[in-house]
Amino acid sequence: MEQAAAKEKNLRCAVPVTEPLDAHFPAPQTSLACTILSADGSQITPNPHEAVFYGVVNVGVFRMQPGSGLAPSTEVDTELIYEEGNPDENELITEELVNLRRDVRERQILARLAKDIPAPVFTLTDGPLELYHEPRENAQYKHYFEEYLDALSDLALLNAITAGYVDRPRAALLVNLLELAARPDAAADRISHPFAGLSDLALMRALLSPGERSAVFALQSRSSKEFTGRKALHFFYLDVGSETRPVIARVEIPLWVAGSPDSLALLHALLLDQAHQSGAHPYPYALIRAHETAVVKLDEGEALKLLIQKELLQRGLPLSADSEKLVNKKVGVRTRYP
Amino acid sequence: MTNSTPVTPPISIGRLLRSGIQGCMVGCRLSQTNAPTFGEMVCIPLEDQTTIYGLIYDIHIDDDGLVRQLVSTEGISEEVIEDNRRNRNVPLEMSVVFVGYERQGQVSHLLPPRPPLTLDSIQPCSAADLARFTADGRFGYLRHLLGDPDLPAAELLAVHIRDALAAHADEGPLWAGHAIETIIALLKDDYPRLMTVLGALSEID
Repeated sequence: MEQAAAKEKNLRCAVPVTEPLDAHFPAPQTSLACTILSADGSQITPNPHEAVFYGVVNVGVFRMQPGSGLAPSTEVDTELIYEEGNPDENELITEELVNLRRDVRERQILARLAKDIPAPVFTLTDGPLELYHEPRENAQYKHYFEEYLDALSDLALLNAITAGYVDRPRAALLVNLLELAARPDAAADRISHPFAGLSDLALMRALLSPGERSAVFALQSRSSKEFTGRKALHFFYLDVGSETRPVIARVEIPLWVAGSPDSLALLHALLLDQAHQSGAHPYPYALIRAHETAVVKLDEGEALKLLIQKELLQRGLPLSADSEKLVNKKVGVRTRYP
Repeated sequence: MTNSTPVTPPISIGRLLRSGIQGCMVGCRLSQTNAPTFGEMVCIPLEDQTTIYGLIYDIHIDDDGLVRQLVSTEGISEEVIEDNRRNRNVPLEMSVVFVGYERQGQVSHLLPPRPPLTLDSIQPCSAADLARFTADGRFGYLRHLLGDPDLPAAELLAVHIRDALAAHADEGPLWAGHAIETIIALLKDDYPRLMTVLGALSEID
């Protein structure tokens, strides 16, 4: 594996840890007395053609205590993004950067809130823990990525059971591992893909029964080396579906969760319960609600833009307008429901 | 007309979703402690010292995609039920028909001069508010209830008169007698509807 990774910089695959590759574990029977914190973000990306150049990162947080009978609570954290000073002297606020800021914000808020909650506390987010944003050599990217890692370190100190939930995963991490294993010489170039077209999803549908999880694997990827020590990225697959309709998810976890059998069992049981709470389309209820809390609707974005324009006018600045290109693009766009 | 200070406690039961001169739609959270009831008199204080009065004539709970998904879920947890009842969107919507307004202590049974605004707060009326608004003796506000064919007038009047009867205490029976005489006069040319209203009124304990 190390030889292959050294040769192939973009190698992305599963790395066996302690459990057999084809291991599968039923749902553990365990108490779910805990607190769940789930976070999801929504964003408005700055558009230079809009009358006002601004962006928004909106993070919704959902807090729930299973088995308590208490009503869950929600909260929203909103960050306005704008260019300071002369735009020509600043780096562009790109869509990727806004997305990165959203991911960082989610993690920071979870770390902040988890501090005041007695264990066990779960922090759940939608999507992988690994970040894919580009360009990675950019100074701003590095700055925010460091903040992301710092937030993960805070969660590690708290032993918060942290997971990223990937619904309908498309990766072929296990398949890539099998291709490496099938290669006669690990150091040789991987010139063929004997299992091309096969996905982890197909493997797991065949392996897992409803409620079961797969073995835990470490993640080998271009960025995984950045997640050092207790933050090292791991994952397992989980079937939250039924006999007639398997629903496979990939659950990304850091080492401090992967290395704790108790935390792993709690997470396994909790995710099954959460997915079951959503009924016919199993998906963690807490993530559904975090998304619903965070989402910025089109009319809300328009209302915010008007508020900013109004404030600028009151401060004596001239009225700004959409660019000619955007005005013409909007012609004919539906403005009301039929 | 009566000159006195409204004694309505400032406890909001919801906020305005949309409104017109004749009525409004109010959204509120579900709570057993302050759940509004059909026929209840409510008021909306405006910024210009005007208070609009109305009666709740419909209460409904809309579904959405997630609720439709959840209803078929076995073993749904108490926390999820509470979340949907208390936190999500606007779980309960009330329709209110306006019956008059009060400005500087003067009660009027005409429609309000302007509708309330989105997100204005709506409050329950106390028995004293109800007695003051209906104590005028002219019962002019009843035409708002009888003039709109879309209102469940018979049931609405029955609940309203029952509430007002209690609010007027010792004067209640006399007040109710005058109110019913007014209703009969207003519906004298619509015998089937009059019979429906009187039938509902006969249900008052």
